Amino acid sequence: MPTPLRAGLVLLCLSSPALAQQISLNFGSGGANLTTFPFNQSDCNSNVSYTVTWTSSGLGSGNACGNTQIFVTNSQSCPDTPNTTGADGGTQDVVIGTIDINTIATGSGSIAAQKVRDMPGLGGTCPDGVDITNSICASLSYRATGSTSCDSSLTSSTTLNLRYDAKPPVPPGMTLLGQDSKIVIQLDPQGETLLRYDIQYAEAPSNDAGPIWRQAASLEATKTSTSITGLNNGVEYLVQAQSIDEVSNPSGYNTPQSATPQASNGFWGEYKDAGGHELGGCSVADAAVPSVFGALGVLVALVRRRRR
Amino acid sequence: MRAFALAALLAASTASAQTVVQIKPPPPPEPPIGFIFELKMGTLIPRVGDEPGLSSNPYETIFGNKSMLFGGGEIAFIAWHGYGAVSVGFAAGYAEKYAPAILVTNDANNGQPSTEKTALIIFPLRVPVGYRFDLLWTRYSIPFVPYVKAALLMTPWRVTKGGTTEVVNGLTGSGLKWGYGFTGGMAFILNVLSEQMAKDMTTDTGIRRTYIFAEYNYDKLDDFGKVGLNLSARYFTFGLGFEF
Repeated sequence: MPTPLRAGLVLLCLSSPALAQQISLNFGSGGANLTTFPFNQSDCNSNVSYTVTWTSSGLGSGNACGNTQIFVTNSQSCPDTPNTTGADGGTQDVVIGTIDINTIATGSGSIAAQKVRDMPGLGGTCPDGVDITNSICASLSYRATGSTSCDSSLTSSTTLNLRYDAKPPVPPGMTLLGQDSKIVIQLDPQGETLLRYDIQYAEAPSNDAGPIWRQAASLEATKTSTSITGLNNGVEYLVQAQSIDEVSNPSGYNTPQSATPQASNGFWGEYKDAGGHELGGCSVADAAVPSVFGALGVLVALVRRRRR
Repeated sequence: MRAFALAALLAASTASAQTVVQIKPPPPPEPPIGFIFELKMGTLIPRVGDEPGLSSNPYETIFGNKSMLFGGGEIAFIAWHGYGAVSVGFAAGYAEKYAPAILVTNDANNGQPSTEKTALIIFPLRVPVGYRFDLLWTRYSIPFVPYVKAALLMTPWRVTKGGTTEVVNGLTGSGLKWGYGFTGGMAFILNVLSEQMAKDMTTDTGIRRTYIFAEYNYDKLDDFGKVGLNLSARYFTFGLGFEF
């Protein structure tokens, strides 16, 4: 065998097992697609917790050099080992689970529930007005196939995020359209991922008394337009809206805007105003229905005759 | 010398003519029955203003002189094929027209366009009986087929404002109109453009003829003379048809 070909075969044999060695992480609830666990200040203060499950493949006791550590870090990407001393000048990572080699060889498991506030970016507190995201990583020192030294490290193939969001979203942009007995509200989310919009409306006060706000139906953030119906034409209304982000932080209501519903005629209204006699509905002419069904019957009979 | 050459040429010509004689097989006979499928489109303006007693034409008020865009299809069964062809079929279509509603206020905005849209939407259905004079094509290979149809019409209709069916004084703006119609048209048989391609299509798909057509429609859609919303129209449609 030519030397380059032999070298390539050896490299392939060595690299194949390495490709199969893998650790992945998931949150214990929320399904495999949940990669970010968001929580707000209230969750933080009330010590809401989360769990992490892990799965491994291609790892046996023969090539592991120690225990697998699962930790929370404020690094941008998962490091080879947790920074438990702060020696690099960064914040100490928080180790939330250790899995010995015999356990990791079983293929899957979970670690104990953890408090969301125990993440490096928070330092155990729940401050106001900040939005911090930390990563949950796993790392393992191991011996590559064919090697005698523990100079390889394996980090988790999936990165989970813990997001502390105590920063209120920006109030939505808003445009109003006064229409027949209703006001159409068009909302602009202003960037952040939102859960919904809360909307209030009131008749514009004619004196110094403040408006009496009424709650309109909330609008899912996946939509950008809704209507308030059943309003009086010719009356000025005020409308205000606020954004609710994915951890239920409210933005506070935006500056109220006004609109006045106005009566209008569509084609049907214009037709009736012009003296149209039509009443709508199915004005079936007596002779027509039998004729239609008779013709269709002939058609069907002819088709069936042809098939024979 | 010249006479000898001329004689040789004539002899060669005669010999050559004898070798290229071909007997063209007669065209296959037309099958007695078959199907027709057509796709068509056009524009139309319903004659709403023809209703007696109207103070104005509401179609013109809302939509101006702009036409509704119509599209549809028809399938027909050729029930008899002799001196021409007689067919009976079913056709369905769709036409719509959108425009701003008109404000009704006590101020200067009265009559101005609203931010709301209003629409007239119709679903023309018809059961036509047709006669096609296709002897020009089948006997003389002239690729034109004139035809006429008479049809029973039924048209569900709907008026919307702001995306929902408009209601005025408790009357809902939707219903069903009945009527009758006549159609006259001319088809141009595309098979003439490429006979080989037409034969291949017949072999592969069973489509014996492909044609384009233009037709004039006279639709009387007023519940057979009853006074009410008049959706009658006179309009041209154009399309593509297949006979198989």
